[in-house]
Amino acid sequence: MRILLICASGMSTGILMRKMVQEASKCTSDFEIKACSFQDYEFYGNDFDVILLGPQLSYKLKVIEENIQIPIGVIPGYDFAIGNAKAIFKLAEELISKARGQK
Amino acid sequence: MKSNKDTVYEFIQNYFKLRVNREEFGLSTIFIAEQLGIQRSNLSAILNKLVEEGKIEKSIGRPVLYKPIIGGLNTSNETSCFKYLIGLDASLKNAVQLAKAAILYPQKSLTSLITGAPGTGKSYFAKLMYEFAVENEVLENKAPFVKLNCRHYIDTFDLLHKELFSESTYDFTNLFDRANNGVLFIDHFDLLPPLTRTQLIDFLETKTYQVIGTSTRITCSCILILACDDNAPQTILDSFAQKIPIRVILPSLNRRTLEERFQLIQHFFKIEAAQIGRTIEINSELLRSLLLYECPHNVKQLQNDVKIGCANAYVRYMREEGHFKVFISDFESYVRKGFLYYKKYRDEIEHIIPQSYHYAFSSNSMERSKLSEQEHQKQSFYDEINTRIVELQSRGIEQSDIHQIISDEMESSFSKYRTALIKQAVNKEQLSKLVSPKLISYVENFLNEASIRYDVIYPSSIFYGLCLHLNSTLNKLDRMPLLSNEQIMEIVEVNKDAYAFCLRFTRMLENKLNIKLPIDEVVFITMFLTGHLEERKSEASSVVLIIMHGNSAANSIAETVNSLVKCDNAYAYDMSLDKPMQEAYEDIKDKIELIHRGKGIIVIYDMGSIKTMCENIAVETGIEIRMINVPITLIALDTSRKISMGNSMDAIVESVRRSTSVYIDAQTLKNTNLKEGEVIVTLCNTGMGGANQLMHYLRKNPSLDAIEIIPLAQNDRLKLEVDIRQIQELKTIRWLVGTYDPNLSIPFIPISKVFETEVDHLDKLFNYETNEVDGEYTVIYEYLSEQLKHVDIRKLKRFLPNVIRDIRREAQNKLSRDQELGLFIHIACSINRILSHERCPINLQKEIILTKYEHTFKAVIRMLKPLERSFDLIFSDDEIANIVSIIKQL
Repeated sequence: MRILLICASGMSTGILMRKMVQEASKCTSDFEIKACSFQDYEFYGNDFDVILLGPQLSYKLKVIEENIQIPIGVIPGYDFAIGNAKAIFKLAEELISKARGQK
Repeated sequence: MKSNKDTVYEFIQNYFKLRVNREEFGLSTIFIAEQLGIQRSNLSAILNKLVEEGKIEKSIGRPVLYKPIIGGLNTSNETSCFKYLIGLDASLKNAVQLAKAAILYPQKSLTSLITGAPGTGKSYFAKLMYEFAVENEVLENKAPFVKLNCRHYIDTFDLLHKELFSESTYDFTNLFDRANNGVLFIDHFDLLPPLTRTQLIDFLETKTYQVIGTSTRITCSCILILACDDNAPQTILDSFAQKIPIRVILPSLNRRTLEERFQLIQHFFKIEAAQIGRTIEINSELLRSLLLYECPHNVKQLQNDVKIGCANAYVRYMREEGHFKVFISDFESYVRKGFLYYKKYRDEIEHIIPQSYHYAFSSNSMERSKLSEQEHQKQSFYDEINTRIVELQSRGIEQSDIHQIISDEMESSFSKYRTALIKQAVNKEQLSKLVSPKLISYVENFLNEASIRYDVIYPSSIFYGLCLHLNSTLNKLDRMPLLSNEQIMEIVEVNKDAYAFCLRFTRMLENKLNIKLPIDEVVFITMFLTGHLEERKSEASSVVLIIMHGNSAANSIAETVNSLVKCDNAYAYDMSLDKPMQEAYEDIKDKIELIHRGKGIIVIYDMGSIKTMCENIAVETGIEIRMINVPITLIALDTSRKISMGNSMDAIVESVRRSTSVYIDAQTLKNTNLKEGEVIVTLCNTGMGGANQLMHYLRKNPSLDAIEIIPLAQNDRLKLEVDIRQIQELKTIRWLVGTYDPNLSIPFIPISKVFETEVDHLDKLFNYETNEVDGEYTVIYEYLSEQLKHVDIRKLKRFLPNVIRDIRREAQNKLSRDQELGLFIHIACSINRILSHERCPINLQKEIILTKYEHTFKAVIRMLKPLERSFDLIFSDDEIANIVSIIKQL
């Protein structure tokens, strides 16, 4: 599963990314996780299965949805603030399976 | 040529104008006779005449002394019927001039409109205008004065309409005909139904009216005077004001000077004296209360209240000869409250009504007599009580009730006495200059024993007070204080053990100092020991003031509240829309100062400008004011505006609801923000010195340096509690630090512990690492400290929540909780990045944001300052632009 994390300048999602990579290393499946700033997401966007937004950028959801045809969601504030990697993986999975269901 | 009478009066007046010492009570007949070269027998007659005319007053006793009545009635050369009007030269000057102009207008008197708060004397004034018209031959001697009070017709306006406009027949004369060639006075005309109003306006314009059911127009030549309360609907007032050339505004009682009010009170007492047919005696305390109590129905109420007081007294004296005395207890309880305002007007009051005088009113004069010097000075604690007993007895109060009243009053005068004592000395060193060291050590031992015995720590004030009291007792043992046996019995009964204990102490004193102490002293000391536990009684309380735009909303609400709750602590100010800001400000300020009862004012208001005013008033007057915004007017405005734009009803309701919640949320948010500040309070037993030093000591620790520390004195328990409560309204008190715990359910750290702790570890003692973290944030900080290697999480805890709070405010609450959390992490990471010397990627929109949102941009820079200072870093413009774009959701 490839997850792209987007925040204002790629820092806060940066630390989340580290936390998630740590968590992912416990699992067997393959993960690719990247954090980038909102300005850069179009470079990477299409290479990922799902996009997760930092809660502070929730207002960007619509703009990105219109731009890129991959599942996208906003990370709940508290999960984001404590780096709750498990919950965020779960969110990513849900988004992907929901998107598949729609197709 | 001046008459002798005028010369004498002028002389007396001038004499007192030049005197600085107003206490001097007057001039003797001999002195005046010498100065003016008038025969004494003639002079006496003249002086008596002047007294009768109310121009001067004379003292009781010999020699008789004369002085002018302050602000005496006839200071001007007014000769018309207005000359007896109190305030002629001051608050009513303008009104009188206008009234005269209206009456004397060439050819035909003008219609006048009199407005003023209820009870300001509108009817009385109208009557005076009538008299003035007769006096000046504008009207004939027996011209009619017809008064129509619309309030009496409130359910029968049809009838009223007929009374006015029906055709006069042989057994019915309509009001216009009755008032023809005289005065027609219509009171509360604003209550008239629209039709009658229209006809009345028609009459104003044409001086004719149409008879009901006919087309006949009849001319009536009467002087029309209209009156209404000042809170009458503005629209009605306006429609009439256009047609009425003269508008007389009568000031409410609290806009008039105290001297005028004093004159009114004098006048009313004289009327009562005349009706009862006796001389009424009152003391200065009662006069002062009458002068100051809040009197919303103005002059009329003042007169009624005086009447009620005299009537109550009359019941008591009905069958008795001798002095007819009226006491404050004869009056409604709210009159007594007047004394609460005494402090504010002290100087003015002392000038008008000096203490220790008795006043006697007869039908045509007021006499003021000074209590004899002796009488005045020996008013000690005991004397006061005994005087009171006699007074109470003479008022026909039951013995058992007297007992109760006296013991209550004793408590209160005792606490006054003790407070006065305490104020005399601040520390032991000073004390030793006044009191012999021997006595100090006796008292010290005595109190120590008492402490152990009753498990009470006596405040140092008790110690000082007792020392000083005993000292003064020892110095004038010749004066025997007297408590009645009953009083002694009661105190002994209630405090048996303490009494026995004190008895031992006084025995010891008697032995050591070789003196004899009366039993009253023992009782007194017993009260010292036991009394302080009940020191907290106080009449001070907060009050609520409702301020609304418009003419009557606030008053109606306050009235409703007061009649439902009966606490009489709701007041109102109606802020008329056409009132200039500055005037409204002064009005509200006066109001607040007047209703203040020592514990602050809670203002409930409807729209913006009031808030700023109250904030300024709080600063100007030093009175604590808290505000609650209930934006009812704003919501109604909003709704009305939306309706006018033609939206559907449901859409309007929905959007109004939404915007309403914004007003209200913004407010609750603000309140909680205020609470967020945390303070440490340092306490000192004697004064502020120790508390200040303690504060400086705590400040040495860098973590504590940022915390607000407030030093307070602990010696006055009551004051301490008030101070603490005031602080708590705004902030959370985290810790109290001091010598002993005042038991105010606030965590307490003893001073000893503070000094045992090294400065560097003080923050640990005060637990500042964990305190402001609620459960949720603990985990967040853990996560951050794990991930952000360069950030000192402790500093982050202290400053970042405040920054987020500021940002929330800047974003006007548009950020969701999730967004705030995101922002929280974002800023924490930014700090980490700056500290690790990584560069922030360039924000491509920076320039646009800078120009378009300059204000927010600057605000964010300001908000981040605490972080910049504590972490010693600078946020780049790119970082700030990032934050701005989140706030503005760009």
